[in-house]
Amino acid sequence: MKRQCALLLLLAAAPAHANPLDAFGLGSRAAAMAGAATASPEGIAANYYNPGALAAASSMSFDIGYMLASPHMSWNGRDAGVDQTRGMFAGLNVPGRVGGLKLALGATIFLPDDRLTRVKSEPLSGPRFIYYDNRTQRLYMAANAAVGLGHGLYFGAGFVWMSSSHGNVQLNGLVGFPDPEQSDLRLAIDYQLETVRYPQMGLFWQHSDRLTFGLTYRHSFTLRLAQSLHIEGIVGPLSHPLIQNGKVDVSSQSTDLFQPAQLAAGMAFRVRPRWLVTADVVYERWSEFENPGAAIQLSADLKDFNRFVHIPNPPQPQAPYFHDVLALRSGVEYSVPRRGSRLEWQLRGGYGYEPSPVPDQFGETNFADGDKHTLGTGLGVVIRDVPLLEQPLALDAHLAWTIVPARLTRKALETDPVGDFEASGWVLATGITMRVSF
Amino acid sequence: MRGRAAAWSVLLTVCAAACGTRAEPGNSPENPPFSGAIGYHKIDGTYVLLDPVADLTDPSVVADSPAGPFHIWFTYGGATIRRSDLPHLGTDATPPRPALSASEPWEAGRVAAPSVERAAQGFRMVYEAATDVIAVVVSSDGETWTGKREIARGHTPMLAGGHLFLQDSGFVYREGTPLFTGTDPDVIVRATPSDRLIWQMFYNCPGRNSIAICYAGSWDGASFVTTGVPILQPDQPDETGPSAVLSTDQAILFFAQKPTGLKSRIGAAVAP
Repeated sequence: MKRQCALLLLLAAAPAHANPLDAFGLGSRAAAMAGAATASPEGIAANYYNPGALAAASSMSFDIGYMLASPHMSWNGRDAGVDQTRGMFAGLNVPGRVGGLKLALGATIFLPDDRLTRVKSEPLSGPRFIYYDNRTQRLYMAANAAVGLGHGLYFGAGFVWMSSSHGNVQLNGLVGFPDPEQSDLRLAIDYQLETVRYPQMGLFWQHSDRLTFGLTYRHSFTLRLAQSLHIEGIVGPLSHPLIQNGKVDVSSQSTDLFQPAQLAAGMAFRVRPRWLVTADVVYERWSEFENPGAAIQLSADLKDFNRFVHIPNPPQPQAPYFHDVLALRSGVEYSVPRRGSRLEWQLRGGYGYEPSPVPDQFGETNFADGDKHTLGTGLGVVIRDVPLLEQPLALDAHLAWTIVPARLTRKALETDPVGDFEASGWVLATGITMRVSF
Repeated sequence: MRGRAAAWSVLLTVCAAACGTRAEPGNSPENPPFSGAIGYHKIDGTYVLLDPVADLTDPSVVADSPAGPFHIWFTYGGATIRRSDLPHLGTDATPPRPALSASEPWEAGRVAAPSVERAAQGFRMVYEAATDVIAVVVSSDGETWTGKREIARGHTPMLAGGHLFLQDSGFVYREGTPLFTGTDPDVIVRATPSDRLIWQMFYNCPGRNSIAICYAGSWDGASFVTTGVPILQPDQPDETGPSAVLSTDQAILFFAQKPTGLKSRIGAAVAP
């Protein structure tokens, strides 16, 4: 059983990509505006959309919320069974002044309900929805620091953390032959999780009370999964061994997580005192994407029996040839007049378009994906005069609907095991956020 | 004010901790597309139809739906054609009943290797008669067959897309044109999800120790590409005469198998 577990660990390939915030956003306000928040993030959203904006905040705030995204992807009209993403997020933004310099520290975490992260094994040519499959099944944890540079300009930078996996399984001893009952093998598993991090940074410029600009860079992130199996020992009875000190080595290298480098430029313009319009352009460098299939190497030294054993070259993952994309996002926010009430309502909406980075699939790989159109809507309320709180309490909710129009894949080979297919779907995402300011 | 901030933070974190944190395993992709070209495994129990006194060979299957019922015509005892119905995999088939017997002088007392397809008037069957005569017959109900006539020379015929496939001297032919080495062709023509036709052929080829089942595909029905390796290796001597039922989410391959010392019977394999 231990051996089976070890082999399962070894053979796991892991098609997981990027993070849930790339796909569904952080915080209900930004998600309702289709993610067009690089130039107007509020609260902990700045930890993802623009770390520079942390220092522009006037008060300390604590955000907490819950998000649920339910993909309904299908191929050939039948449900593909892509998992939901749901989980809690929380974070803190602590602005302050040191010697007249505006400084801020911020941190945020998205904690999925079901798992911290997922490693999933699929065949090299197995069909998969590359954008929504494992991409969103992971923990997100970021910490940032920001500083005011004067003239309304703020700069922030920080890191996002994940862990990398390296495993080594060793089997040593006697392999009973022809009687397997005489086997005496010792199993050793050495598995390490190593912390990895990638940087992000942002510039935030308050040009005026009505106009702000933002520029954010999120670094690329490739998490590799390296595992190996080493078997060494004697084959046959100890008195007359058939093979003395035979060896078999298997190693597997695969991509566990991938996030494209992203450069987002945004603008927020208050066209009327109660109307805010935002727009983002995001460049995503998907061309660095690597095939998540496992590259397996096999070698064996069976001494006198080497001439009877031919180990074929295992298939190697083909280059996926993804291409860079430019995503467009726009949002609008309307603040309803208070008319003396304790409550200030805000209505939000947005539209986002993200082209698919996946090229036509006519060969061995079967990455299913399509262009994404996202319609967002949301409601916010700021509650004043809350007992125990000197600052207003903000509650936001959002509903975002992403449509992935049908995309046909036509395979070149008549003998292709997967054949032609049509991929399509939609994603419904919703969530709530509460912000307490102090 | 900092004290209040800390109190609110603790309160909200405790509330958040009460949110659902149940774990579930990750799913494999469901209903993944597949072409039917590979991935077959034999069903539990191996066979779906057998007869204690006669060899059953050369099955030809017409399905009402991908899950059944399946109407199976086959060679019974080497010289007649019988029919059986299988409600769905895992159930018992009806006892074989006579479908077609030799009645014409040119049949020389032998009819075999049926291939049945749905036609405008009901069903059409091509079959092998005598030693190398290919003939056709029609039926309105699949039970009573009329209008026998000779159409070609060869063995194990198959009608698909208006074309006659057969084998002769170890080659698969489309009409008079040899395609490749193989025997017992079964051809299915269907539209892919991208609305183009694909011709999928299952046929017999050399296997590990015996006759196995191979696959070939074509976009035009005239030029076929083979995978080169069997898609189903025999674990009984000689698994022959494949007949496939393909749908978008499952494929079933029926075939005849001849265990050593036993009568030939009809087996099945499914994919994925």
